Amino acid sequence: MASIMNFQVNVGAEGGDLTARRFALIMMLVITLMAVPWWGLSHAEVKIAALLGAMSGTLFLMAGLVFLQKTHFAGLILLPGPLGMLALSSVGWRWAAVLFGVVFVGWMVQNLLTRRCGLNQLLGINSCTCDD
Amino acid sequence: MSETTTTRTMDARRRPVRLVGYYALLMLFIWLMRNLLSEVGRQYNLEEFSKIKEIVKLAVNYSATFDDVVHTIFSLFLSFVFTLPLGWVYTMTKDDDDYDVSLVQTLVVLSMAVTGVMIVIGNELARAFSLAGVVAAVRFRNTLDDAKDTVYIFVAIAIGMACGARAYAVATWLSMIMTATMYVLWRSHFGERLMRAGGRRKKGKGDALAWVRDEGATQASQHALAQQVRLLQWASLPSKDKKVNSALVVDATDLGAAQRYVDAELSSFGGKWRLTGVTSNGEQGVLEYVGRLPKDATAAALVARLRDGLPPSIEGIEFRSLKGLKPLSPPATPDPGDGTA
Repeated sequence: MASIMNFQVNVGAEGGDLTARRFALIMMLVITLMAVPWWGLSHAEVKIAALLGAMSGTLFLMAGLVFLQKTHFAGLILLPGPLGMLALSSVGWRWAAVLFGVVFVGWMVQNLLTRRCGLNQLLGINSCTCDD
Repeated sequence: MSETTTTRTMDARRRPVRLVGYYALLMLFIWLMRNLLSEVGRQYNLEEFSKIKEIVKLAVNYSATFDDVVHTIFSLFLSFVFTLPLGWVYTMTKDDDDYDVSLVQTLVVLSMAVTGVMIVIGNELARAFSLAGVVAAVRFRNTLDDAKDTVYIFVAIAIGMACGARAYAVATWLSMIMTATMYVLWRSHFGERLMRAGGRRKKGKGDALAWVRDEGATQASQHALAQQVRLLQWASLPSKDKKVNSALVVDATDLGAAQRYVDAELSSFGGKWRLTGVTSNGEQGVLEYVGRLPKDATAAALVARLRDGLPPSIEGIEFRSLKGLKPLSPPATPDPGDGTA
């Protein structure tokens, strides 16, 4: 019996889902690394990267909403992820921003490895072409 | 399965919430882009990049943009509001047969589109010339059935132009006076009364439909059609001799006397003729002959011969040529596709 916690494989290449997820993972990884204080990057630089990430998120969400693609997950991750990191970074909590980014990256990696996504299940999206 | 999927896809595409979501995301995207350009402008030296600097300047100039937004929204709203009565008058004054839903919607949208165009052009002569070039490149012409529809279109354009040029008072009076004029003209049957006074009346689609719905006219047309089909069947019958190519239809008040007269005349005129049908209504009725004219004889000669000394028992004679008439081919049977056909 499928439920929100126990469900079939629902992540695949259909509707650009897998490609969008890989892009979102790389984007989040870059922003998270940029937010690490060791590199000495300024808040403005992190802000530019975060805004670029959020902009790509809106595009993915638009693609999912209007052009009936299956890129909802990438869109929904890339909106709160970079903007949340930006908010934490703007108040000077850079490590909290990094932790925030790591949580999102971890979530995406787990989804990619198991090919199961709770958000897809919640939205009724299945991008997997497999029969099982 | 595929049909169900297609239907679902169509339904999903038609959900207005998607459109609302799209615009919300677009607004968010523009807001993010403004922030990005603002940050890029602050962070990096753009002195050497005048165009990028200009973009940044335009993007972060919130007050001027807000002014444009308010002007555009207000003008479009007024354009919409002023064109609605025009659509109502069109709806009220049009007959069911001529009514075009698409035109009503076009009036409203066209007016708003023209407003947008006028705002874009503003006071710039170069933009006005560019618009002329673009319009010439795009085919948007459409043939309207009624000349009055063109007037509606023109009024909608005028309202749109007035709203776009911020001449709101002109748009208001234009909308009110033109709709009132059109309504009064329709209500008073202006042109129609003048024509009736002169003893003329335009025959429109309504008159044609009234004729079709007339019981007597329907029966007459059905009778004529049945007769023609009958004659056509005779003409298409296989025969050892040459096929018949002529028909003679005789309206008679006394069928017996009329048949004797026509038989005698046809045998003396020549050719091969035979009586194929008699439709009787008491003594009155119709005789139908089919056959071939003698070689070198004309239909006019035959009719003249019959009319010469026409007895009072015959009301009318009609000659019909069956040349070139071909029977309808039977419907093609589908090929079973297994090689058995």
